[in-house]
Amino acid sequence: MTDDGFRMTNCVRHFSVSRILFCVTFALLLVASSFAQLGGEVAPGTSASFEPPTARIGRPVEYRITVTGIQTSRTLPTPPAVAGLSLVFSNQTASVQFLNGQAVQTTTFRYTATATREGELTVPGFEITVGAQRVRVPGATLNVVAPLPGEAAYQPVRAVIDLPKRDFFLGETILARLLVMDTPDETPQFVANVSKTSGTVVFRTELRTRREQFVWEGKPAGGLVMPLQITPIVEGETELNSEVSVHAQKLDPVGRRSGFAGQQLIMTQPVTLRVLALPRAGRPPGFNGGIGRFTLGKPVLSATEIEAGEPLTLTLKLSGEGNIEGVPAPEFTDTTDWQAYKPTSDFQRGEDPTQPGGTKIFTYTLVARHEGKMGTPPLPMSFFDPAKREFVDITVPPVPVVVKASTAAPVAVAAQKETPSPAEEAPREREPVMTGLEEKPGRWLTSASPVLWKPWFLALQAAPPVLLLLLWAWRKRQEYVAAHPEFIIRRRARKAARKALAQARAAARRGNAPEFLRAGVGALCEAAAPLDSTRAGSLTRSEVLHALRDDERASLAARAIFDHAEVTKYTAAAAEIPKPAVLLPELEHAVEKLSAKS
Amino acid sequence: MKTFIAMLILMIVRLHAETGDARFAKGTTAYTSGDFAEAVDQFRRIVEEGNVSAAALHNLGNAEWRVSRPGYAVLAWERARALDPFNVNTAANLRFARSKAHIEAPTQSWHELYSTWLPTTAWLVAATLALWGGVILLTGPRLLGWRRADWHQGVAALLLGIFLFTLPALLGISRRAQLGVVLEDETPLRLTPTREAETLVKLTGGEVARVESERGDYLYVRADGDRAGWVLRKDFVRVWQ
Repeated sequence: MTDDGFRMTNCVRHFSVSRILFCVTFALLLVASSFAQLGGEVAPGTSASFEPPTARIGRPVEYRITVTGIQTSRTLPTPPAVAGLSLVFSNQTASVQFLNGQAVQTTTFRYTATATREGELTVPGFEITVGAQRVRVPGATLNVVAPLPGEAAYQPVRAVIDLPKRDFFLGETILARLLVMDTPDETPQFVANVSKTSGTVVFRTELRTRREQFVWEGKPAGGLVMPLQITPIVEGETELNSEVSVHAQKLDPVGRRSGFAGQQLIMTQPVTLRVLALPRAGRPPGFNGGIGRFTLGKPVLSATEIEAGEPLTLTLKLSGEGNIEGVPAPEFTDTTDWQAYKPTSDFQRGEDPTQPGGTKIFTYTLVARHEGKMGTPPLPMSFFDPAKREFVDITVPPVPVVVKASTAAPVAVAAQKETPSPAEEAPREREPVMTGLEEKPGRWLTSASPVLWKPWFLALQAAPPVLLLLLWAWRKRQEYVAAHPEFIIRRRARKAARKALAQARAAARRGNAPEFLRAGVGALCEAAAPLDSTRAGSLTRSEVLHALRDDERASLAARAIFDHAEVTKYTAAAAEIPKPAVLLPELEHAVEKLSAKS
Repeated sequence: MKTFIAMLILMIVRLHAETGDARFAKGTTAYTSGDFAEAVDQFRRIVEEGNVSAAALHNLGNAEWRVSRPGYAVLAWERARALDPFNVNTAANLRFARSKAHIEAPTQSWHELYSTWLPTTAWLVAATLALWGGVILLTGPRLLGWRRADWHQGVAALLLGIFLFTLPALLGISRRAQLGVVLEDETPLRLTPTREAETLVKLTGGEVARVESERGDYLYVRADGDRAGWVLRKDFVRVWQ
């Protein structure tokens, strides 16, 4: 073995040993760590305090709950209510520290505490859930003292929407401001979010606020100013409210920053907008929805002398404040001398992005239909000025152009021949465009939602199974009746007995004894018929009496009715027949007994 | 009396349709004359008065877009497409809106896409007729005591086969019921369903998201890219409400 080879082998061996040692150490550390985690799991610690611990009535202080442990509370603790003390959640912060190889989390929940009465106010201890454990948060006491003589009530920041004092028009872009005002007790630092809570308007905000001094209700004030753009979309009066999430710094009694700051949600005072529709009368031609204060720049032509067939470009610049971004390009109405292509438009915002408005550039391409001295076709254009409440006509007058005979026609033809066919051109990616309106309303429905969740549809789904169930029940009954014909016989007999008994009752009421006896015999025979599986008409007296042999009273009654019926039938000694009203209860008893047997 | 009631119902239905037609015409006129806010007002009133048609919703979407309310425009177009999935104009407008607002189309599972092949009502009618028709053809003859014929079983098998094909669409429809549209720009997606909650991210008006749970005034929604959190109910409207 050479020296080099020996060194190499030693090196490899040394490397392998060090690698094994490293792996073993790492494994031991892992095991130790696992044991530490298993044995060292401790209950999370909690604390609660007021900062500062003394407050004056109406002045907010901070109530803090701190949870420290391997696991932390993921749900917002709800402290118990204390009379005279309001606690409103402000924010929460979390931090992680590594202690003895374990990640320990500390979460602090902050609440704004405001007392309304003097004395010692204690938030009692309460339990919260941390991980899977219930942990007790200790109580905390706030010492509340009376306000100093002449001291004003606490004033949190307030927000208002500053609108121009006038009526507005549908579709107008109103330039308004959101003012978040300083107070002696709080200073707004930044606005986190603004959202509209009511009002049928389009509400656009710019989160870039500026600190300004302004006049509000005749008094100088300071605070944050945010530009707003409000576009009413429904005619009539609408009340506008908004919700502002603002981060405010609390100030101490001498106006210094107290170090106590937090985010709070405030509602602006509602403002009412009176929205009018644009006047129908007096609309000049070329009005295409522009509302605001616009100025039209001088029309610019790409050339004042062109050859026939050569395209001419007309550029117009419309600048100002209002809904200029959405104003579509007006189109030529008189195109006798010119062929006009669909105009294009481009919007350029002003230099200050917080200010609304800008410039809209319309570009028209025209091709002269013939030679000669002529002017571009007039372009009707107008807008509505909401401040003046009138339409303003800014029609573009004809711009003179000289059109000469074409000198490059053959060249143009040659060039046209050299132009590759559309099939040879590389495909261009086209930007999607918005399609036009549907011309016919189509079929009217009552809802856009599927009928899947409508109660009537669910009820309809129940109809077929119910129908099948009824059909099945009917089929089963048919089968049963076919297998047990006595069922029908009995039912028919009971029905016939009931009918005969009803006739007997009617006869008894009338006092018609022969009719009563005839119906009574019929009722007895009908009731007894199923017992002999025969027709009632063919039953004899002895067969009926045989069926009643177990009941003496019923037997006697039946015998009496049969006897009297026979007497009535074959003799004329009607005087000996007892009154039907006397026999009726006995007859009913006998029929009942027979029916029960069958 | 019956004739009178029938005529009354007919008159009410006709009046209803006439109001919708009149407003549709007014809205279209306002739109073409550039008065987009008036057009929004007219088209929206049609819907508020309980009349809905794919064309009215399509036009409402156009008008809402013109008054710079992309969220409301997308909502109207999505509703129009749910009623008439074959309308290429509405589909083009949705592509246009998403391209302009730089938002992605919602990710849909295969059965949700399958359910868009036909209008929802067509799927439901097909499923109902196929299921109950098949069951009645299989059981009816026996229950009625008729002689069982081969065509009974053949048609029943065909109908039940059709029903099986409608099942994924029904699942897709029920899943699509959770889709909704963010109405306003800069809608905060919150960590917890509370007013003071931390804002995780802000959603763009017109984004489509899926509702996963509800609590009080808040909905837990998941937007494209697994952005999930709580939004206020008023800022988010389901396509099928």
